[in-house]
Amino acid sequence: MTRCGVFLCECGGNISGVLDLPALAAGGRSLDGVVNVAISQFLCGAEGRRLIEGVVADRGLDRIVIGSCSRRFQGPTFERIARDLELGENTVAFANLREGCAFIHRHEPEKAQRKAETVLATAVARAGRQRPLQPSRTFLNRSALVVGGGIGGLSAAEELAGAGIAVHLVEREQSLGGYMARLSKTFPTEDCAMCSLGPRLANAATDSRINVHTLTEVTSVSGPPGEFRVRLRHHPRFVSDLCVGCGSCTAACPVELESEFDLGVTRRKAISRPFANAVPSTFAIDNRGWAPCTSTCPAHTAAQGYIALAAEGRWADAYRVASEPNPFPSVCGRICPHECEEQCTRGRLDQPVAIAAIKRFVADQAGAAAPVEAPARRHGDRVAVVGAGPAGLTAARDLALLGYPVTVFEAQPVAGGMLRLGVPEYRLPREVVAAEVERVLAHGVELRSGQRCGRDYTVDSLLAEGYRAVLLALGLPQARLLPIEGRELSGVVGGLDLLRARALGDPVAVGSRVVVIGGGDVAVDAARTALRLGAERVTMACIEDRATLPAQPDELAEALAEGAELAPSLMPVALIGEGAVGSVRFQPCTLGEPDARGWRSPRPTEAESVELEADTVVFCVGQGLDQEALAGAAGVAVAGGQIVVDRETMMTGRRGVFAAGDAAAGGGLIAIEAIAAGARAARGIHNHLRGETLLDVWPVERERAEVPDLELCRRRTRPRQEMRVLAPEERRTSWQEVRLGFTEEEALTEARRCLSCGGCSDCRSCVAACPAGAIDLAQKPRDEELTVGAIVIATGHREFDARRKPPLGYGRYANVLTQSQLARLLSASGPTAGRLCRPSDGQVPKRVFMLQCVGSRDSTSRGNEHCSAICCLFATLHASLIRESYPDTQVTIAYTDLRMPGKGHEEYLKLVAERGVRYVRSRVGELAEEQDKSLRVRWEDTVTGGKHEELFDLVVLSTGLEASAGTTQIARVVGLQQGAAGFLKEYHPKLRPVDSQRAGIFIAGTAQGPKGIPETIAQAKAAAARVTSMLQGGMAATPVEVAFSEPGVCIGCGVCVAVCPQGAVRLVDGDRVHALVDQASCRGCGICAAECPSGAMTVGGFSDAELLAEATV
Amino acid sequence: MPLSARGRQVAGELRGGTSGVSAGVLGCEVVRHDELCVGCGRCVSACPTGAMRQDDWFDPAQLFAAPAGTGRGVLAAALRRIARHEPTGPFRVPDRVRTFRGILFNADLCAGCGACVRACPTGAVEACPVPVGDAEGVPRATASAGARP
Amino acid sequence: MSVPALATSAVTASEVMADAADGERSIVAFLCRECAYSAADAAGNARTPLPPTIRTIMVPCTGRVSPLHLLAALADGADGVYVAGCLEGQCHHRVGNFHALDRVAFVRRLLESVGVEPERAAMFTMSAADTPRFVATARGMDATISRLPRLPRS
Repeated sequence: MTRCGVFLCECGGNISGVLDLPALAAGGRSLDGVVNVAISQFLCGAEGRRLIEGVVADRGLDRIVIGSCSRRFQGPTFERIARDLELGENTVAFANLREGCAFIHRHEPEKAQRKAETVLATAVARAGRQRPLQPSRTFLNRSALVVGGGIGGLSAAEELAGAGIAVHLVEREQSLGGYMARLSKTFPTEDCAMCSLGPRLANAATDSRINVHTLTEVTSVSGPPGEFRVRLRHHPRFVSDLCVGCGSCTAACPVELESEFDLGVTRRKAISRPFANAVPSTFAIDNRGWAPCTSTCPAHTAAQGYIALAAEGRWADAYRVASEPNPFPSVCGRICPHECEEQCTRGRLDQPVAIAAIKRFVADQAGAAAPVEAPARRHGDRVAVVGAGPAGLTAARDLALLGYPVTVFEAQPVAGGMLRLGVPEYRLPREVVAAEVERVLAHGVELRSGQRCGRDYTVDSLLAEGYRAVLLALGLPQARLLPIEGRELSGVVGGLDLLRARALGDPVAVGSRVVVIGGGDVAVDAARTALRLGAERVTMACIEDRATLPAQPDELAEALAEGAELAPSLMPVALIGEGAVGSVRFQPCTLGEPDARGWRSPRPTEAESVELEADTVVFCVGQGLDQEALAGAAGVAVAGGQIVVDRETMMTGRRGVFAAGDAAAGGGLIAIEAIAAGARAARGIHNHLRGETLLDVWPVERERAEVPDLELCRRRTRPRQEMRVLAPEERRTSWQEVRLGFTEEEALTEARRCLSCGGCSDCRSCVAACPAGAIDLAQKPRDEELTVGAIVIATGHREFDARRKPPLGYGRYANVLTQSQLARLLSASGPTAGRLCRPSDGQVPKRVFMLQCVGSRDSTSRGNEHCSAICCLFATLHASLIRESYPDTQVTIAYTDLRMPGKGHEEYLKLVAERGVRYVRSRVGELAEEQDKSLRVRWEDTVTGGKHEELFDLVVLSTGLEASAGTTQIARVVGLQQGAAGFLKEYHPKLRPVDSQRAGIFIAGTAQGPKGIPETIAQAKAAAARVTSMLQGGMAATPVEVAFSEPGVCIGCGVCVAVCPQGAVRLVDGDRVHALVDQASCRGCGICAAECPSGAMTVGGFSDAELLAEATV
Repeated sequence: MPLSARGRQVAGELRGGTSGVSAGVLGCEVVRHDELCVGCGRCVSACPTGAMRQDDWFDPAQLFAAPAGTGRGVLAAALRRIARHEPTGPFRVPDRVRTFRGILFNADLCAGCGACVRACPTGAVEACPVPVGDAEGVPRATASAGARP
Repeated sequence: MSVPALATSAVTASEVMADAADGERSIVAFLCRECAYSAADAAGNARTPLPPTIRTIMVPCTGRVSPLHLLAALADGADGVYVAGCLEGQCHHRVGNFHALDRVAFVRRLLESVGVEPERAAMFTMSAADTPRFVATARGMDATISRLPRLPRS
């Protein structure tokens, strides 16, 4: 039973003048639990305090009931007394006898009396139900996270550091500075923005208490206020701390991208520093991942790189990039099926860039002159490469570059493999192959030709001889013939054998009626070779239909232009003839469904069989391994016609024996695949010989850079350069190269069509140019975890995208800009050094039109409802600056209303209007572009009602403010509400403007709503003050009026977790799953307690028992 | 009802397989005891087939059926003191009222996996094994050998 | 969970109530601390006459008020009960008043289903500065309840 003391206050007559307190006291005495009733004249004063202290001590009270004014008024006074008397929290109950009784029922004293009796009785009943509560304490980490490095973030960081709170300042861009760094001057004083910002930037850079993290984002925030656990992701800048800021890298970089800092007004290089005063002062590489061409290439050739260098005519540098992964750029530029071109982003706009043709030009132009010397020997381990084809020679070169002595064994009298002996010379001249093979050998690689594996030596013998590793790059040289009737007749030949004989200069002849069986590139090669050998009629017959045959479409087209015929969807059934073949019988067929390996078998149809006359039949239906070569290669297994290798090491089943190229399982049967495989084998062999994984065998995959359609549609279309070819009549009788290649002009023009999808093109020109060796392309994103006590969010704004208002022509008309873009042009440190030039011709505009409220005060779905607060001033400022520097230039500002709140702003407007700026209250209809790129503007004057139409040289749109992308991202990470246009919701718009909805997290600046610089700084410093007062105690008592769930009663239904607006409740394990409230985050609203079906959840001081005791009588 | 092919599939896909589920739960009939229901909706979240759904309607008769001493029971006691007659039909519940909603159970969609039974904190959902031979198509053991089931 | 036992002493509050002349209504009002109670105090300070039928109880946020509180008040003697809180969208605890509005609507439908006039339960929203609104809603509720018979209970 509680011992309750009732104290009634006369309130100097305010209460006692209406209520009969002695009678009330008498009634109170007989209430349950009441051991004492006292009356005081002023209970809240010193006398009242002494009275309470005395009674509590004398009568051993554990509860106090105060009958006085509203608890909202003097409640804290009595709660403090109870605390001081060590009665505990929640031991005082209140009866509102003044505002709730005496004052409002003055004219009905009897009713007032009865009501007072009831109110007192329920207060006593409540006191009987109150349980003393223990506040818990949280530790407050004396540090803060400031998200956003603009003027808001910088101001907050400065203030916090000054208060001795360690600051982590996180900025997602490359440099601190935000929007203010982009401005020229600020209103109304026309101070230079960078002069005001500069000292803040320098301060942030040098203050040891401020840790600056740029190119960094916040990826998660968890934990209670006072101990937030924050995870940061540092994006790589690819430039280390060795950078001295000289800018040589920028000069060397061939890639130009749109400058975000200059808001698209100019371009900048892929390696750049946004502005001179950037903090930190280093450069960074904008690497957007692999361009689609690079991503698709089996060797991940930096195609964007050599194309970028080619576009600048830097042929030697381009050759360096093209040949780095591939010693055969001239070859591949001619014969590669160039899947990269299928993926080229330009193909979505008009036509893909002619990547292969450019590579060919680069290699042809610069390959011969490119220096090559045998690299230094670093290791003694000898490596044997069996097969001098693309796989073998690439591996040989790469191993030589790694410092190994390499010997290449080749069965044929000439090196080059399929490149020399498979691809006909009208596609790939012999000199081209020979030159690139020579370059490989010039790396100090020994070639022994005429040595056949399995006959002149074996794998076993090589290893016995002392070679520490053997690479089998045998290729698939055996032509396969179909096991059909008649294959033993004369005149039947394998396609590969025909091509090889021709390539070696051996005598070779075909009849006059040639049938080539097969639909792939070998078949096309064989058909065109047959034509050049004099056949009158050449027909290619294949099981595929026209649409699905595997040969490259342009090769097939050239073959058909030369006179070859195509007979698709035919499967050969028998070769007919006596001694020599005379005809081939075919059965029309279709292709079945792909099997497990993806191969589709032919299915004969019901149609009549077809017989084609043929005195020569060339089989081009597949290639096979030379099995004899594997004699004496114990442990090397073959499956499915290819050598089995471990994908990760490139090793076969025999230790130290590797395989790559066509001969090894996995990978397609084209040159660039073999080259890539050869390179992987070299790395695998290096790892094996050194006994540790020093190199990644497979290059680390990078994300594929995509250019969104919205970006793409802004580009102008330009057609692809056509490759000149020999006329078909000329070709049929000569072995001259059919495709004539680009001229230098054509290569330059075509290379300039590249869209630079990947940003940085991996050309490594910066690496070569940097005198400090500061470029580090291996940098990876790095995660970091911090604990901070509080968070300030100042993530700023972005401009309304004026492309959402198509009639204004932004993005289409050259001379329509936004105010921010104009700021860049007017800025002395901007791209034009402060000279106002209009984009189309660089001339100073004589007539400038500024349109206000673009995207603001807009109730259509294309705009935002709010007024963006600063645009009228922004336009006025720029008008003033223009009039000052260009007195001959007229400026017209078309406004809806002129809004100039704030100190000095109205006065500024007057001043500027006097400088001759024309202000027109109007509604603008449409902008139309004239021939000379000036703009015809139609508007209606809303004051006079008159309609106007005028020409202007430059139109500037005052676009409104919206929350930045970073704001939306941090809101999602932290769990903050966003209002219209994405601005963060403050806890209360009037009373708590810098508090967010979450305890311990504060917001400032334009992330919260549109505002100018002084207001941003004020809010930022206010947020800093909030953080300071929050953290200053080191420990904080959590308020007792927070939610609490009784574990034994809680049924773990989880409804409280779902309804809490703070996310302060979670379910935890225990004897039974039950709810646990994070009391530091709880705001005590009680929604959870009201929902709780079991009654386990309650709010301190407002339990069901207490509330019902007051509510029921 | 016996576990359908779909039900077996679902039971097999349950996290942790069916090892935590007693054999008796498979192939079970789900029975709801609405008077024990507190409307938390965990059965709805747990149900993989959508057989359990939270309703927009509430039947006050459920309130009156709740046992004394439970949250709803106390509410019912208060309501009973002022009620003029037995409660009339279900009514639509405003959006933000979470725990006073009916739970609809569609036996046709039920896979008998028992997830709702495990999820329910108050035992308002119960699983009853089906007696052999009651469901259609289940062979019945007969006394005479050789007789057709 | 059980309803707390009523105070059992020589004179109970209900007996105090019973002394009141028949015909005297009683209304219990749950007011949120930030807005409604603040408006009520302001009305008091302005000495605005208000119906003595209304007894105010402070809650931290109207979101704290559950159907149990409203029905228990009616079951135990009140003829009417109402909740007053912040204006929609301005709740100091973000969304508490939205929950309360829905709960009051639920209670009204529940009352209707058992034959009790739904207007015996109501909710009003107001800003703390809006004293006239507090006064108007209080007087309005008093008028509404006065027109109804006293709530019989079993």
